[in-house]
Amino acid sequence: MMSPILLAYIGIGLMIGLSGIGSAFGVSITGNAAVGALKKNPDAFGNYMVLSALPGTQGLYGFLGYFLLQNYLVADITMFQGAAIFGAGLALGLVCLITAYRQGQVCANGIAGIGAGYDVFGKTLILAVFSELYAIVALAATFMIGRTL
Amino acid sequence: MKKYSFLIYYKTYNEFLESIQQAGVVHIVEKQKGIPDDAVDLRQQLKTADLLKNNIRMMKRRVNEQKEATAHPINPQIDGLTILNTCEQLKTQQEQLRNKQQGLQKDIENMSVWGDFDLDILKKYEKAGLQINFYSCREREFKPEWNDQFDVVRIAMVGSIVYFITITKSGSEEEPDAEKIRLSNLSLGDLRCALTDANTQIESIEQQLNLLSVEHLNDLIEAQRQVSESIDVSKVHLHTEKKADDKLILLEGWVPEVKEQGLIDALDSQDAYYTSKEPDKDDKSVPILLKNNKVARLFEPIGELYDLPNYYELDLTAFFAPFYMLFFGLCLGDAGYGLLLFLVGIFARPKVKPSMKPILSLVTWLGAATMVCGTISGTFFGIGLLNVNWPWLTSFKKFMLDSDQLFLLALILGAIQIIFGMIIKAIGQVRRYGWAYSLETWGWLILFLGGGGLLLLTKKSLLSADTAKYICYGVVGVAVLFIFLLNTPGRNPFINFGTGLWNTYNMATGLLGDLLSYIRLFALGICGAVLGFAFNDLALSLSGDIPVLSQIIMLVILLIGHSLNIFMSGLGAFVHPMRLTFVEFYKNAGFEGGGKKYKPFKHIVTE
Repeated sequence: MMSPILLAYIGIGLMIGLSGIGSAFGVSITGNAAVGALKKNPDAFGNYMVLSALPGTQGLYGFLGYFLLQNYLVADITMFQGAAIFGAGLALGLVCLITAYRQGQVCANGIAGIGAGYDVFGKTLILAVFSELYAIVALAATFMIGRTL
Repeated sequence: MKKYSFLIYYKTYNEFLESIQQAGVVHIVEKQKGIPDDAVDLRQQLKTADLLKNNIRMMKRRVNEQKEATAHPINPQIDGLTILNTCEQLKTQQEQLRNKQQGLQKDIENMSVWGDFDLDILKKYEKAGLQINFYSCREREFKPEWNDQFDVVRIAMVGSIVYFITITKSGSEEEPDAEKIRLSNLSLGDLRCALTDANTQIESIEQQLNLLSVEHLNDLIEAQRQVSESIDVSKVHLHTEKKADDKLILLEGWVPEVKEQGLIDALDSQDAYYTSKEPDKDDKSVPILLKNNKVARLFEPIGELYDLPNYYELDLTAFFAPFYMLFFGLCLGDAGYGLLLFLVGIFARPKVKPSMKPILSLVTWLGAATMVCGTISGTFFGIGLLNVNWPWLTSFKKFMLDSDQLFLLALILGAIQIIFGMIIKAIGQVRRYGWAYSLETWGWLILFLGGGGLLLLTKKSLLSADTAKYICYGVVGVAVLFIFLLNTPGRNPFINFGTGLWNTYNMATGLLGDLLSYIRLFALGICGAVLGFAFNDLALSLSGDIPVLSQIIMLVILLIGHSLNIFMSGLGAFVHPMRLTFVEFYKNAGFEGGGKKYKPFKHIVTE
């Protein structure tokens, strides 16, 4: 049978790995869009940069999740603790992966719009954080799981 | 706002436009009925404005690159458009020279393998009945029989590529199976001379552009101002109507009441007939001029990122501003970062352009709010103040909140903002439509505030259970009456009941979602604090114990880590409260939006 600490570390791996991958996808999508938009409208680089950075936060949430749970990562943790950490890691990792990816697409569309001369910066910011809420909720849940251990 | 209609005789129209441009208070009503005097001219002006914008950007860059160079002041004798033409010509010449430079570099690269020789030699051979061809191929593809067959002379070998010439009789069509190379018309020496010449010319143009930038940047900016004004005038022509066989011109515009006197003074000297009136009910075209105090005005750009209120509703800027500050502070959640923002705002403000000053004032306020919130949440540059044993801090710890309390605080703040929004909505409905149309909103408020108040009083044992029961019946009874029966005045009560049920469903699901959305205040605050702590931890554990070097490494990690955290957490702290404002608060406050900003027709002033 799998030992609790192994289970916990798999959860931590998923948490950091998936959220990092999500953010990497997200910021690459927005970065590509920004490079394209720069050719049309180089004056709005500040707007592109802010929108490009938005999907980067999910990767940090994954890293933060590890910090919230690191005190329980000891050799003699119980199966209950190991399972809780695995669950939290899986949930946070998956949610961050998908929300960062999709947020990147929203931001990329906004960047393309700004590049084409439309004033959509503020509205894109608002719409883009809709998907991020779920990553934040998953992070809050991870925090609460950590408090119960 | 008041709507002004002007009737002007066509011969005095330009003079009239100049006077209202001088007054700078009339927001022209857009009609798209007129045509500019010369549409071609307008297109040309737009093109010129674009060129000016690009050249000004280029000149500013060049002035900044030249150390100790300061742009000369405007010279009224200089025509900015002539400078623009000179710039464009120089840039075109430079572009052509750069293309030539690239071509020459490529030719030199191709020719250098054959060496520097006089191309006339080839002509001499040709006259003697011999032709020389140039080839290259991979060494393994080179066939030894070519040596005798084509009188091959191997010239060079670069990597695995062999470069060789063949000497054959003129007219011979036989060739080796290798890549034939066409040489440049110039020898290597001539090519190098041409390249040096092109480089010198490019450098000379570069110097001329640098000089032009320093001497005439401000002349170009002045030209840009004039062209922009001219475009504005052309656009006004687009919104004019011609009457009485084009002899009279009708122009309409909006003027705020507070600025009316400025227009009346300007029109005193004009031979124009005009009338003014209040806007028609529900006229969607009335522009918006926000009136806020000094602090709330700083938050107007944030509100404008979403939408402006329409003319008939309340401007919510002053109502969301305190919440926005508080939410920003909670999301960033570090007193140290707040202090940093506060100091940046204070010290940078006097050194920036006037247009940037409000932004830095906003940064100062947000920094102050973050300092307060960071102190409450007990974080200073990632150091958890609740966990440190500093004797002087002990007395302050009772004001700090742990994470459970912060979680609760986020939800309480959410509930307060939502209820506050609903009160604003109810007041707005009373002002616009009368009490009867606001009863449903008041019903919900009675239910929430009454229910909450009763719960609190009962919990604190300030109210007996019996009394509370009867008050509860009263509260629920009034709320049900308002929500289910009086939600729309003058309509069938059964339809109102159905609407009430549907609204109850929406309220129950929507309110829960809205409230949960405020959890982000807690989560983002914790996120920033823990990341700051993580970087402190990394700095301490990774710096090693070599004297001096360890301290340097620690400082570098702290600097990079906290800069990253400030940027990412700052971005989150800017965006997430914005969403709470525009989605949760605006929705509950019944914000409609759709307002158009008041943009008067006036002379442009450059900074």
